[in-house]
Amino acid sequence: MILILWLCCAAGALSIQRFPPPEFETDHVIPTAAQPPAREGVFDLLDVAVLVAALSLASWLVLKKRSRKGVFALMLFSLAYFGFWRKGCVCAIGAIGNVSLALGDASYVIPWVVLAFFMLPLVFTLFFGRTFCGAVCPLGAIQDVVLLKPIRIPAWLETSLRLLAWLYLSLAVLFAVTASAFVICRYDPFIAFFRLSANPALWVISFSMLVIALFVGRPYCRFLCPYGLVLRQVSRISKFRVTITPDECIQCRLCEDACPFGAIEKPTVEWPRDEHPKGRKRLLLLMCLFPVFIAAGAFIGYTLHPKLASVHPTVQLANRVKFEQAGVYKESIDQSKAFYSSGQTLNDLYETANEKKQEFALGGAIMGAFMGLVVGGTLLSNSIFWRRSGYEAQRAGCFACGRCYNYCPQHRVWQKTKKLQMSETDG
Amino acid sequence: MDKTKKLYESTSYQTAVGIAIVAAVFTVVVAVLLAIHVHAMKAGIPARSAELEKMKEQAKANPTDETLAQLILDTDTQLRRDQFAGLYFVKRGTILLVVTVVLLVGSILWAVSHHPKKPDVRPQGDLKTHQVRQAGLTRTTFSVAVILLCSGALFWVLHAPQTDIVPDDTAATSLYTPMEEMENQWPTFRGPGGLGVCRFENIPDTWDGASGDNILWKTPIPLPGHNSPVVWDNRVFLTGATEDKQQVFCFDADSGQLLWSGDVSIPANPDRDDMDIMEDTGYAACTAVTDGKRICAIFAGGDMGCFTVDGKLLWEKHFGIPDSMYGYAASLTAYEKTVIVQWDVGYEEGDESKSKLIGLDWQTGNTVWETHRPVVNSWSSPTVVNVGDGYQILTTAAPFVIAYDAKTGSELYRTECIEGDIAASAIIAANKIFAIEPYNKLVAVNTENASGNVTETHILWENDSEMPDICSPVANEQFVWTLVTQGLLGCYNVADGEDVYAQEIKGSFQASPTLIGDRMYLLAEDGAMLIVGTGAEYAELKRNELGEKCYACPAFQDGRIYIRGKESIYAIGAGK
Repeated sequence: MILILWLCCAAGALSIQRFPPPEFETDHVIPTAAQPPAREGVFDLLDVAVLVAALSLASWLVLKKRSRKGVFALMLFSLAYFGFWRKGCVCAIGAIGNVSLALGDASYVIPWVVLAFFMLPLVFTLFFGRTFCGAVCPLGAIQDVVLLKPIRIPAWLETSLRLLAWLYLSLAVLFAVTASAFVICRYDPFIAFFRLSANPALWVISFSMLVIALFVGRPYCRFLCPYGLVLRQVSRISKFRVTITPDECIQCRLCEDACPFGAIEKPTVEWPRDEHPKGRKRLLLLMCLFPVFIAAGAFIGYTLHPKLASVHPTVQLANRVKFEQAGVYKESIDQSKAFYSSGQTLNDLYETANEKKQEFALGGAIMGAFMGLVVGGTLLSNSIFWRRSGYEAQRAGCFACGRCYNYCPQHRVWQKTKKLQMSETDG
Repeated sequence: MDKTKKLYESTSYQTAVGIAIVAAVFTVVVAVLLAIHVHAMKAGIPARSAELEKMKEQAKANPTDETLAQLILDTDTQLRRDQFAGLYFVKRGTILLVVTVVLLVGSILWAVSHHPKKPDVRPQGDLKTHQVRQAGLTRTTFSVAVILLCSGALFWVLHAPQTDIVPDDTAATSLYTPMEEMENQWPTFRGPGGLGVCRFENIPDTWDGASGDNILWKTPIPLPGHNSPVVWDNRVFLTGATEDKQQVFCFDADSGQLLWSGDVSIPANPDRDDMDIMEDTGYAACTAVTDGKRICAIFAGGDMGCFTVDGKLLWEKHFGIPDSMYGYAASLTAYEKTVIVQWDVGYEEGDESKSKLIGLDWQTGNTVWETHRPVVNSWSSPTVVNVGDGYQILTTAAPFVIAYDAKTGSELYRTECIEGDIAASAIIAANKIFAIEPYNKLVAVNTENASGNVTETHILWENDSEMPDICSPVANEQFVWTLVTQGLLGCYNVADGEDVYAQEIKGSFQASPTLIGDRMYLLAEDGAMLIVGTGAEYAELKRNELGEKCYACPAFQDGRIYIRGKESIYAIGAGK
């Protein structure tokens, strides 16, 4: 609480006027603002090599070794390397922006490292489940490490909150495709810690997220992470995946509350017979409504496009200039001053802004339709009866962190047997 | 029980708790110190900055005070030092805070790890009912979440602050003056549109400069110039310039008092020394334009300045030294949001030409549109006329008469019909454009259905009588008049261009004639104003002497005439 209060003060303090460059003449040459220099090629290779190694090790630790301690140690390494050492960049989550921009703008050449960071976790997830989330992602790691006293989030709330992640993913892709902003990178909630530097608002977001993570397991991963959503879908069809027990589930229920992320499914009993006709009707109705959800989403997305477009710098500038021209704003801001001195005509600016708005109209409609698809899909999947004979880690929701292993008596037997076999072999 | 007690007494547990307590205290201390520091920064620096600003204001009033200048320098440096030292403190403090928080969380986790969570195996309820209820609850809450999200989106659309306005809405146009209002004033060279026609008929016809009869006031003009006065309500504007100074002047229309004068800067440019400025043209030949909110002026060196009518400089624009044989002389005009500059320079025609027509935003001076002109340098001024459903900008420069869309600046049609050094501006009457080729001919161009190059199709007639080299023509629905510098007034039929009369008159003329109802006002260089009839036969009605040399066109506005003499500006009105 104190921290949050302080950060609120800091937000105001850091917005204290910054001095303009000195008015008097000195020999000092004011450096021009620039992006940090690109990392040298060899280090790019090193980053990708470390990622491949970490993913491979994570998959081995989770699926073969079944070692929570090993996963935890790797998690700390990933937090140190990809988080604090590499300062959270390149990251697979932020790479969504680059990939989307590359899809929307043919002239944008996506750096190979970024593409590798985007693709490698996907490929590993396709084969081994979400081992990237469990042990390699620094954002996941920082939340996992601070988890103090997890509160169980009921399934209905979890499903509803996940809608935020879908929305975030859709918006992030829309803004990236239209070259408006890389929102995922801009609002990375843990970058402030990794870099020990951020604007006050981001500090507040980071601390708040960390405080929540003390009591809610991986809140960002579960309810916001756009890349996590992609991995969720891929892991549904992964070849190998986490199983709580290495043998058959004996339904001892010891693992029932082991997962702080609510990713353990209970066995199901047969669906009550009196529910069958109702369920069928509901399913039919939802299937009929599916196109309606998509159309309604597209309509809302289209309606929102002028607001969404105002995120784009050119549209923002055009709006600002229009207001200045109309006398609503008496003073010009730096951006409009720069425009005025550029020699570009107002008509050109307005035309470019209008073209951007058209892009947003189409993009907004597609985004809305996609959200409609998500809504329909979620309702459908919650109307279908899924048969389970024992306790299972969710195919999509399991982070492959290995926490549940130690709760399973079968796992302990497996471990002991393995140890015995090893000592026999050694002997 | 013993086991639990043992756990709490273990060194490891107690170490973890100890670290957690120390880290918690340290965190609070660091947070409080940072908060105090931040508060002090927030309160202190702006106050000292205000002091600095005050000192800077004092320095402006007293620029030679070196002690004050040094004090400003020292204070400014000290403030910067304090600011950056403060920011450094905040940064380091933040790092320390993060470290203590990490320590706190780590130690708590360590302490908690001493008693791991045990499996919670409570008896299960009715699994069937639970499953069905759980699925139903998920569907319901999810649907509610979707509805809330959609409602939020719609609320955002309907109630969020407006970030977007269309360029042509009322808010955007309120800053600008509609053309209808412009037509009730004398805002440009030769009045509304630049046609030399006055709407007011209550213009005085008798005065005498020597005795002061009907001379309301006379005020000296601080700097020379040949540009005409422009008038908006109770303000009269004109400009003046010398080689090293150029100014806009605003006079009170009732008292003649100089209300303000505004400087337009002259950027250092070595080419300025090579400028060809004829004495007859001078540095301030271009008439300014006003829309009642602003006054905009351009000078021979291509320097443009725009002021509010109260004299506050809004913007300046410098086009560079124009390549003009006798000195740049095109007056400005305006259409709604744009000030229009006819920048006819250089000696090349066609694609090679450096000439252009430029529309600048009244408020900011930004280029709204710019259109290349295939013409050589000229001294004529653009006129803005209402043709059919829209306004057109008419221009004359060898070899074309070209009409542009006033809104976009795009070319509508052109006629290749004039040669030479063009100074006379085009006018319009009875849907015909009248343009003068100096000394040689008067051309009438039909504006109806004109589009593209209409040289072959839309020239109605040409009259090759003796034509003026400076003065622009004036016309009503029946006749068009031309005024040759040496004193020859020509009158021609609008319909077919036939000569009506050619009358030699006493005097030399540089100011173009003005039509007021059934009278025409001709101002001679010696300051005599001839008032003649507009009938088919020449009739001199009156002659009034001012007693001072005059080169500029007078301004006529509601019962008054404003005449710029060589040295002074005069207001003439009935009743004195």
